[in-house]
Amino acid sequence: MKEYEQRLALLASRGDRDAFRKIVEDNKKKIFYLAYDLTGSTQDAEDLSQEVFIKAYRSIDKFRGDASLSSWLYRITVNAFLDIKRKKSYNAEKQQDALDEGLASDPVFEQSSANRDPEKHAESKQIQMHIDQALEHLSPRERTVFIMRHYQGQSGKEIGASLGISTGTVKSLMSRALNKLQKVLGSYRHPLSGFARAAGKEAYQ
Amino acid sequence: MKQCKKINQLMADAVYGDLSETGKRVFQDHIDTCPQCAQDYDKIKKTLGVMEQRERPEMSTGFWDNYYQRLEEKLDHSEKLESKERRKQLSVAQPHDFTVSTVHEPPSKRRWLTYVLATAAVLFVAAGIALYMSSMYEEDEGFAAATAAIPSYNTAVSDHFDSVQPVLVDYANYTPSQNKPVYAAQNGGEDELVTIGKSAIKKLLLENQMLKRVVAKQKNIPAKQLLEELEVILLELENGGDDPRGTRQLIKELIDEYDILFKMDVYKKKRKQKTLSPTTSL
Repeated sequence: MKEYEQRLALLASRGDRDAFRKIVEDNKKKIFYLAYDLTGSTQDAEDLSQEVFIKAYRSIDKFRGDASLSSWLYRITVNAFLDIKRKKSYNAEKQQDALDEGLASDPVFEQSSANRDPEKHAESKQIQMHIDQALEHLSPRERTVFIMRHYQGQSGKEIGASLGISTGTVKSLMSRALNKLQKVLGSYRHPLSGFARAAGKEAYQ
Repeated sequence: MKQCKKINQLMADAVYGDLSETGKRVFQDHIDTCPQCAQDYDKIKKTLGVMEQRERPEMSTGFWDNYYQRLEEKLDHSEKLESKERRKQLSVAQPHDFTVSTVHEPPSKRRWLTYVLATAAVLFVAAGIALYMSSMYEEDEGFAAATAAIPSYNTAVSDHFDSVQPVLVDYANYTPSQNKPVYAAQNGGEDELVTIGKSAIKKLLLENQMLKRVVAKQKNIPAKQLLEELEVILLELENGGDDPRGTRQLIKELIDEYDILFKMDVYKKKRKQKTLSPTTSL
């Protein structure tokens, strides 16, 4: 796998668009869903994931093959997300409007929920809104650490490598994120059903 | 109480099954005997149970099939823009159109024009940087009115930066001693370590958290972001026990990456200007 990826990266660095396309096709879902988890919107996820692949294309000659291509792309995604938050001071008003409208504004989400009965659909929408609101209470780094741990199943070491911080700080940020989420979601207490780290990784890949 | 604090920090590892065998035993023994920690652990598990219900959008087949095509269009477009920019830069650097003009200007005039253009470019870039920095740290129009009731919070943030800056400057300027063994021998086995006491770090972290809440309430986003970046560095200081050299290097890299010393200086200068300005209501 390593040799295969290194070969693809080498070809792509020489301008081989077919090789680059292969890299995109192999990783687009992982990177899109990581971007979705970070940004909370399908439109922003598409923009962010495409920005990631463009950055990757421009710097593919820097890929050394020490880690996998997907780990390298994860790192680019996380840094691009943190850059956006830093530069744009991510529009809090826009997010609040989106939350106020509820997820009905996201046609993709509506599509996926269309077949449910109305009562369950309304309850699910409510839960999604509260989950998104809870995530908004986290700082960009806390959110990134939580998302990568909980939804992407990354280890503390992998997260630290992506963010350029130690595993100790990953643990501190994770602890803070959990405490904040617990405070915000205090009114929602659902029984934990078969939760495991492996489930987190499998369900969201 | 101290044990409860330690157990609280282990809860994230426990819930994800990342504790060692010994860690699991210690954790479970405490949970079995401490009702408060057991309750807190239960709350965390239930919170994660809710977070698990976050739904992922199911993107259509068409979305995935056309993903690369949309990406390629963006890539081609950005490459066209880049090449246009490169051509523009080349034409600025070479003011004469050699394919059209047959009139050759004297070399001294050509050089003078190049100097003028280069100076204008530098001034333009400097103005752009100044505008960007001022927009980054400019408060909302209602900020002065909103903070008139709490005139001391800006001072508190500046004081916090004053407390942290000397430590960060030490880390930013740290270079390993050339004669480590000699230095260590002369100093009772200690290398040139830049250290700060754990209780001092905890105090700074608490201060940082309190100030983050205050600035967030005042909707001062740039200050909040700056405090968040500082918090990551303070967490590294707090957590970096086992590998002092690795921690030092990491902190130095974070200071450079966030450009935190420069940003703190800019923040304090702007605060000072607002305080001294006769028009401010602070």
